Amino acid sequence: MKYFENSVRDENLIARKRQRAKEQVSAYALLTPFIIIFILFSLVPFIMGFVYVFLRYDPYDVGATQFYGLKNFEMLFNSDITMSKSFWESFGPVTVYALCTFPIGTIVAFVLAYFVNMCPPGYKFFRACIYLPSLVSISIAGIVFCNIFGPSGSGLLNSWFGTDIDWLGGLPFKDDFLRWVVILIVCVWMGVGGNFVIYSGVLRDIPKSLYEACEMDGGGRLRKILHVTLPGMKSTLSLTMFGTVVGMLGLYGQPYVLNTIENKDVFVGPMMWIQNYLMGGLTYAKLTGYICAAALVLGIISAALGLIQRIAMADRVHGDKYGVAYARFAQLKSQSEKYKGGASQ
Amino acid sequence: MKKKLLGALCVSMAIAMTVPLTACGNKNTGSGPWWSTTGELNKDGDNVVFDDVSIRLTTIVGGADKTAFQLIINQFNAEYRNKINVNVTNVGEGDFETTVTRQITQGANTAPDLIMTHQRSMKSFLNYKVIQPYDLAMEETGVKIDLSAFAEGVNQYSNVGTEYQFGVPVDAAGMVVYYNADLLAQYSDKVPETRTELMSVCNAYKTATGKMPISWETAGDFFCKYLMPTAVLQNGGYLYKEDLYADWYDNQTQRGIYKDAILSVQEFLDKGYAELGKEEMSGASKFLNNDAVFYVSMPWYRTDIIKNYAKQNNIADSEAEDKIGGASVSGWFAMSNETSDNAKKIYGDSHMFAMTKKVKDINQKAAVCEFVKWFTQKADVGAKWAEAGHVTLSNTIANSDEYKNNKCVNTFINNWYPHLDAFTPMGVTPYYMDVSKNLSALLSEAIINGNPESFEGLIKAKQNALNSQIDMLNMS
Repeated sequence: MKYFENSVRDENLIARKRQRAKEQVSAYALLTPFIIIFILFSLVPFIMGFVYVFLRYDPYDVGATQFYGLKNFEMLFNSDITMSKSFWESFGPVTVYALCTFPIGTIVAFVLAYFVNMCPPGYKFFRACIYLPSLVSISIAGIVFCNIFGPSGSGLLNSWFGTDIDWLGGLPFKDDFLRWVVILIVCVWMGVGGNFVIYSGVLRDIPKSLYEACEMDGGGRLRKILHVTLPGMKSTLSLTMFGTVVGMLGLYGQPYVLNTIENKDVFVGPMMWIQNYLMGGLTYAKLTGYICAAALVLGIISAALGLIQRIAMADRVHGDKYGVAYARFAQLKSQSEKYKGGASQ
Repeated sequence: MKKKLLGALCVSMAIAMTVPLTACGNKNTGSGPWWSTTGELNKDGDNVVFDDVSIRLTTIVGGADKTAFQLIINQFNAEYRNKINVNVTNVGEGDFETTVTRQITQGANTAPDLIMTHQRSMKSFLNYKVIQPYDLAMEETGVKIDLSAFAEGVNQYSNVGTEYQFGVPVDAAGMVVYYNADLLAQYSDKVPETRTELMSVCNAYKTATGKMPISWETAGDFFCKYLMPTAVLQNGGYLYKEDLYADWYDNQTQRGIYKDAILSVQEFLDKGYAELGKEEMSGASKFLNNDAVFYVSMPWYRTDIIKNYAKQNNIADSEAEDKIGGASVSGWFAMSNETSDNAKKIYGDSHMFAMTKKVKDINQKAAVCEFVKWFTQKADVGAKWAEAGHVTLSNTIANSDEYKNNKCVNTFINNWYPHLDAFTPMGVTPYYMDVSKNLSALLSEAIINGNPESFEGLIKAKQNALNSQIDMLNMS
């Protein structure tokens, strides 16, 4: 009898192993195209870029490749070199812009998600409308907003109000405030859809019981937002804020399309600098290593900012009972899912 | 799983590190010639016999001109059926140099045999040894043209500073002027040819109507790139020295010239004859609505301007053609010596044909030479290309009756470029992008600042920025 039981158990075990192997094979088969594309077009170029920073590398004359050690970084950190100086100067405008405006992108997306999540009449239509601009290419957005904010004679706003406001002109830290306002409008218009979708999803996941508990404790709408919604969205908010800051540091398309004769060649962000010289034709090809070094430095700065922001938003014991309750709820939920998963196996 | 991920990472690293390092030692900068000739030429008596030779032509020509160019190629392919066949590929301006160089250095099948490039890119192509001497190929094959019979201003750079002639000039394009014939007739009995005459017309129009006589599209890339160099050249200056560095400020004479160049543009703005910050649409609409006498734009918009003028004013296209004329910016910016040779200069871009090093077979070299000969010597081809907005640089075509009698050439092309030998491209500097950007920034910053006392400081700053950039490129 015992032998019979053991052999049945062994057969079950083998069948389960076979099943798992089958699942693994199909999982890998499904993952393979992505992994190949990721390795070829993301990982390999990233590592290649990392290698180039130590070389004098010209993609059109690879035979002339030399080991440069840290010379590319030496040149990049040498402020006597105008090109390096312009790289560091390009951080100024975009950093001020990012610090002043990154909460706006987050708040607008959150407010829209909050209200759409209340399911007002026609909310599905609004949801589509809010997300649609994310699908528009920056070139098209540039044409649209250039027509709106263009000079008198061609700009919609100036024509409507009979004004002659130079929305897109000016130089950084001198007189280009309005240009940044327009850039912000374009960034929010185009970028809010992504965060909006994420926030909508997370808002739906927050358990209603916590809102009810808060309400029973006499909490109004504001308290519910402050003590239930925001703590429940904390990790998502942290992630999207990081994405927004990094996105703003990498600002390139908007200043590239929203400009005038006065500032069209002024670098207002490091990504503009990198893009400009990478597209500098054969003349700048031999500076590939140096430009990659600049890109690496930008990456490190972005990562450092992300780290600071993650530390600033890390979980702390703060005695917020709804936050604690939500954390407990999430823990229980994940345990129950694990249990269910184990039982089904 | 961790081990597998680590393995994938190691493989990726190995691939990534191998790619840049594998080619070490295959330096393409040897001292000997990088071109060669193979095979024997098929001849019947003195004539070369072409037996279905195929040529790959990569051109920088795009946009509206692409169709006109393709039609000309179709004509060639029809005329040379079963003899020579030209396949055209277009690559955009931003990627042209790098794409073509990559294809040729990597020996790709898609690499071109012949390129139609901007003159300013020739130095870079030569530095990377991707083009071969055209004059040598001509000698070897016997398919010849007179290489000296091209407009001097551009042709002087065909040798790219070497003993060989690498390029064959094709055409040129710079800023051109469209004028409203009815309006101009009210204020002048002739098309202005000097700055004094132009200012007189502008003054009369401005006084009578209060409107701006000149409409120009300052937001466009071409306007920024062409305006300041044209103003500098017309005032007797140069864009860079022989050693390719700039002495715009350090050289006292050049400093004065550069100031004059800025002032020559500023005067138009200060007197209310023109304004900055005009998009293409608003610049054009003023002219189309009969609100401006002159419209400064690009030659390839000719058809659109005529059609839209006709539509706007409810007249036939043929009637609109008589109401719009072509004039030149030649002399517009010369603050003194209005009749000097310098005052006639117009800065712009020029297309050149260049044979790539990929072509080794002598019969293919002959086919390339035959095609270039056909394109640069046949009057009807020159006229068709002129209708697309490109003035021929071939004296043979320019002097032919068929070309001269073409309506478009008569009304526009010859008036846009009255002194073809004075047409000046960037020349033989590989740093053309920086020269152009610094000149454009100098002009815009100076005229927006508006204070002539600040001009010298700006000239110095831009000169130093350019020279520092050249230093950086030489250092690496």
